Amino acid sequence: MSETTPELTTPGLATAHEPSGRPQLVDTQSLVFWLFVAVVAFSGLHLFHWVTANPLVAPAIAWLAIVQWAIYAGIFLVVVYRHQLFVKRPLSLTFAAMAWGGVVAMWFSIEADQVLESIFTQVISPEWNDGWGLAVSGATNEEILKALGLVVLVLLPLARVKSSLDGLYYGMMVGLGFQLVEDYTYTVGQSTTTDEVLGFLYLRGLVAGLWAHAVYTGIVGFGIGYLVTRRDRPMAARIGVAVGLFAFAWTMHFVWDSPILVDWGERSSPAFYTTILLKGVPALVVLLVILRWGRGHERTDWNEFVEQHIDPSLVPADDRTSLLDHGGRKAARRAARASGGRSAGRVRKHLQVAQLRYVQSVMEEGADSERAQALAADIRELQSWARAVGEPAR
Amino acid sequence: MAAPDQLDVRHRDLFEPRSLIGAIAVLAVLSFFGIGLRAIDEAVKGTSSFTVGQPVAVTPTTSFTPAQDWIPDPAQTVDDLVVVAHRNGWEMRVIGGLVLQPGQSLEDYADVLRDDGGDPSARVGDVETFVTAGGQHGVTWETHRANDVSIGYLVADGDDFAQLQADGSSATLDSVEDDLNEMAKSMAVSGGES
Repeated sequence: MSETTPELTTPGLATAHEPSGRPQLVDTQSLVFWLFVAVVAFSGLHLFHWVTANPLVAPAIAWLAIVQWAIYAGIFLVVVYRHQLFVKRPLSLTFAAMAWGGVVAMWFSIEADQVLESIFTQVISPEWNDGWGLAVSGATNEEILKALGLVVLVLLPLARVKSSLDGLYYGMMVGLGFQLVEDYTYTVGQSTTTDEVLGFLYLRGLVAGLWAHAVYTGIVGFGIGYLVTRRDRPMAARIGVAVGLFAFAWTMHFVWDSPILVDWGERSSPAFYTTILLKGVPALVVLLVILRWGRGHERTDWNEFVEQHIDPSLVPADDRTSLLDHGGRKAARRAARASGGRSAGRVRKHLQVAQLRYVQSVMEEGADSERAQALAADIRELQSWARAVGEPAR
Repeated sequence: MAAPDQLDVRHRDLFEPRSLIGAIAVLAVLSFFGIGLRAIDEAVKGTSSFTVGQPVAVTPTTSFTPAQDWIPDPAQTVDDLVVVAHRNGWEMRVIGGLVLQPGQSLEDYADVLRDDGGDPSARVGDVETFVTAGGQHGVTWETHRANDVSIGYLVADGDDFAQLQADGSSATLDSVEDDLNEMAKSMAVSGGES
């Protein structure tokens, strides 16, 4: 936007802050990173062989399923990405989390589920395994292997997992990756027509997909994030939260896969949908509750940071208050439109985005960084535009 | 102010303890799921497996030689009718004492079984023929579902025939497919005239 970078910071403000660094995936100095690369490649090759081994899958069905689930993934990603309140997490780490879920956790789960069911068959009985084996093995193997993806991200120093919400976000992405590959394999394995492929989008994407792996692993990820980042809390409490949330996600996954209520109603009957809701909604509710809890903490931290480290001419107090939640941001845009028309509303929206990215940039790279300086210049220009289109000065 | 890539250098040595221990821990967990569980599976098999190389009589007229590592399932096995065994999440049943109806061929019976799945989304492969170690005529076919595969084998001597039916995950098909083919070829049916 602006080519000039005038003096942008208030002396004594930003210099007191120690930047955390910009999160990134690639870190050649981390053994965990190289392990991540090796395990994704290993699992990916095996999974590709498995997915393409079914000789009876029609190529047209396979391609349609790929396109269908890619669109689903895109919509899911956009919704979750846009709903990040204060920071936008990098796409490289987002896709890395999805790769762990869709490739590593998926491949190791396929193997482990079969073997664990074999153990149940021998140690307990084939009849017990037929009823409960999948529920126990699926919940146990899959939740642990997906959670391991979060642990890998935590162990990558440059990934910089800094909050419970980081854990929730990356957890959802690990779960989304898992869910997409699982949905794809079910779709191509059981579909012979376009209608059947679309039927899977409805059944697995909408009816079952809103409270599936992405939600379970989001809950687990929040717990891991809480455990490793909330050092202001006693260790026992942090462990309690992490273990408790894992146990809850495991239970929800177990109940979903278990024969409980499975024969209650024919597919598409009211009883069928009631069963789906009973088995699925509690997980979504808990995810939303912990999201609200995490956001409350993030909001307090962000507000304090802006107050203490951000030049108030760049993010004035009124703007800071309105940026604290989505409702406040919308209200500010509405007010801008009311006073200066549509263009004022658009300018206010761009200004809000620039302010949020500026604060994130200062947190991560410092107020003197090139990126922060450029964003600060953008903010000043947008502020002058806002005044030009009729917004009252703040 | 330090450049961004210099900000967090605490854990950025390739063999720095946290990186090394972290990598080992992740590898250990993956190894448990990839190798350890399989070892436990092998261990719990104990002494309950078939005697290797020893033919098993399903009925007085039907026998087969189990492959290594298949575990008999006494709860589902019925004397003089069916032997059930498991391996790696797969279940295999050998049913003896079956008789074709007059005029019915093994291929006809295979078609009946192939059409009798009741699952419209299942994809059923073509019937292929094979010859057992004893020179008897056999047919086989595969049925693929979402993540599961069923493989059927029929072997006949005249009107008498036996069936080997195996069901399991497509992910572990590679680990049992050779076993199943060998066991099918080891099937022996002694019956009457066709």
